[in-house]
Amino acid sequence: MGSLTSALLGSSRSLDAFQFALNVTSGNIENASTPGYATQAVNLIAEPYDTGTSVAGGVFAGPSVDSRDLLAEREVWQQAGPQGDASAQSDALAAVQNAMPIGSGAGIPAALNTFFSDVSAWSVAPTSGSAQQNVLVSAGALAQSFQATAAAVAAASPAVTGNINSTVDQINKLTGQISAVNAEIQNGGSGNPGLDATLYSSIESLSGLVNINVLQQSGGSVNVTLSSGAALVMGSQSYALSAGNAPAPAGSADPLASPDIDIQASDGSVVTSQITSGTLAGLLQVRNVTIPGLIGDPSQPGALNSLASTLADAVNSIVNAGSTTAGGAPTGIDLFTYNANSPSAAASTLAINPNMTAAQLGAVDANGVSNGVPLDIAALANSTPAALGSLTYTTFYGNTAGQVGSALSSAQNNQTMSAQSLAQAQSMRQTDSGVSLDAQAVAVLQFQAGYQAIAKMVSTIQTLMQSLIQMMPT
Amino acid sequence: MTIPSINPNSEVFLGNLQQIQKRMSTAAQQLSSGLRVSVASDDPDQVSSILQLRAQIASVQQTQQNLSNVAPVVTGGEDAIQQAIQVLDTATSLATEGSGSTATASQRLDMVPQVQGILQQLVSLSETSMNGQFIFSGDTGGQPQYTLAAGGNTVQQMFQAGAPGQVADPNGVMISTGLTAQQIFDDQADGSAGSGNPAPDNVFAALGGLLTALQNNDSAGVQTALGSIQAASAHLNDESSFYGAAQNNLTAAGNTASQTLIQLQQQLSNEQDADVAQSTLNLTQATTDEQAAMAAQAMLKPQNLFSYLG
Repeated sequence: MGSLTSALLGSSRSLDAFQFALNVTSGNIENASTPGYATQAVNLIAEPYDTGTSVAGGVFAGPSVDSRDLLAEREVWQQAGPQGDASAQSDALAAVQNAMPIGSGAGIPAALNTFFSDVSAWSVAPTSGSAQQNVLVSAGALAQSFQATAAAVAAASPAVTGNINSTVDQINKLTGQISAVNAEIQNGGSGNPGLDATLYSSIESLSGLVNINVLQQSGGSVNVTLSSGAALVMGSQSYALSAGNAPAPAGSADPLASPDIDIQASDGSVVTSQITSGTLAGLLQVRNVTIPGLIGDPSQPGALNSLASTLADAVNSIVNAGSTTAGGAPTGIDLFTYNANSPSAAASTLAINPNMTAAQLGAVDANGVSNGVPLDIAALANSTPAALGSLTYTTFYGNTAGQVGSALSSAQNNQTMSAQSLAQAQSMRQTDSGVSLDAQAVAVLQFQAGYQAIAKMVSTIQTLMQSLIQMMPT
Repeated sequence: MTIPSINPNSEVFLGNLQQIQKRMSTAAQQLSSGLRVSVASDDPDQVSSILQLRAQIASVQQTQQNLSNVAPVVTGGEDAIQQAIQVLDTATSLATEGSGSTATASQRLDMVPQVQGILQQLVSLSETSMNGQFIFSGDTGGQPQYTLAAGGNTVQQMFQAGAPGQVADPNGVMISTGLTAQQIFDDQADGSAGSGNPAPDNVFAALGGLLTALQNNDSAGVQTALGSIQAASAHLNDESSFYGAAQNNLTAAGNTASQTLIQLQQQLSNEQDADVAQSTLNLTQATTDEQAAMAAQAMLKPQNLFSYLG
């Protein structure tokens, strides 16, 4: 009777064990689509079995085992950064590229061609009022084209800056989530698969935004730093990043130019140079390198401004030395004006001199050649100023647009490759620690069969015990 | 915010599908626009070259237009000088007649109005204009350089004209397209721009000398004027050859421009235009790839073992 009772107790514990196993399996199935969730495995442990001492054996459920593979997780984080970087650059650069058209009849190249053509036409009719007027009109259109291009490139900047701010906000939100989960883990939540799922999902999202280093702590909490070491999360404490305008460098030739964006750690230190991967790095690259390379910042004039000022200066030096009659005094009037006090504003302020009239466009050069001025200006089309790297004006613009196009093309290719690498890393992680519904179905069947067998065992023991009770004399 | 993938296999499939669709989009765009390079990222290395070729084409086309605009002016100059030569032939005849020993004072005086008419014709020829521009007025095309002085015996220079314009050929080489009225009709011995030291072949001076000799019944003077007129005629022939050479240069420049334009357009086409056959093939291949990928994905059964339970 005692053995039957112990067997019944053992079976009861076994039922509990299988109930636990089924619960774990159910949890796996329910969280099959939960981001960051890792499969929990049931560890069934055999009870001692000794007929001599009426120890009936049985099984009990040990703690569930987390299948998370940290190496696989790190590989995903490693791949998420470049993907975020390339994706952000690809989106941001598309707007910049659209601001610098290369199509036939579009943008600065077409305006340059029209201007030089009209000047060339003026050269064969140097005293023609209509030819002079055409030059003024096309010069105005060229200036307008510079303004429009500079404005279009500049318009991309606030959008990128806004994305930088929102990305920093996301980073801070995620580090806040991670620190909150850390606090829960430190307060007894260790080993909670749900908390772990939230934690690792947040880390994965964070890894796509900025390059991070994750240090596992005992109990399952994590510390997160930038790759260079700046703290983002330390236990239950998160350290917010912030984005703001960078100060103009010392000795800046254009302190009023649109400043770059700096990222600051919570202690106020500038960590911009430490942001080397992720969405934030891609956005910073476009905001602090690509766009300033075109329209300038406090440390550089930008290619469009160099092009505008060099062209305007070259044309002006020819025009204001020209005269309207042979032997006449130079007109001394510039054709173009721009804000020479701000090198980064040359393109955006380029305009034709409001004091210049068509009749004041003198065609006679200093040597007395009646169409020397238009010929000299037309010859600028093939000139290669040192200020433009010994390239023609058109080639310089082409190189500049080509650099943007190259960056965009490279970002698009990197986006494709990094997306595939990320998907492969995620697939490997899924294989290691993701929920396989097939495996869970097998487990359900397995545990169901075990549960049913034990239930049958309990039923049999109950029958035996009833028989024994009936055999007892009344 | 990036949502962590929960189905990496689907992500891989979608990524590959996007690649195929990008190929389709690129091919379709090339076929619809006819261009291989529409934006800089299509072929960043070729952007500068394409833009420079377009600039060169625009320049050559404008050069063709300039040459076309200048050609009538050169022809007009040539025609005017030819007419001047013919007019001087008449003057030569009159001078020959007037220099003869049989010519009387009365006959010489009768010749004066004819010579004055010739002088007026020459001044008129020096005022030849096209499209409102005086073609022999150098850099001051708005007014004639010479006019007939009161009395009709002398010519008055209104201003000293600067060098006439030049036109550039497709290679940037300058072609002189005209002469000033002074160079043609009022040649100076010292080559100066003034009019105080006429050369022996000075047209206006030769006729002025003839007029004076005729009015003075100066047979020797008429004889001298005859020599000057013959020298002036030779000078006009020299100047005419300048215009002939200019016409030849313009024609050669026009031919060069046409050939250069064809070459540049061919180069531009090679660099920016789409290969229609290749783009069509790419579109067909990408379409087939997409259909195959979709069909293959559809054949993947979404069921798992749970589908077979219960």
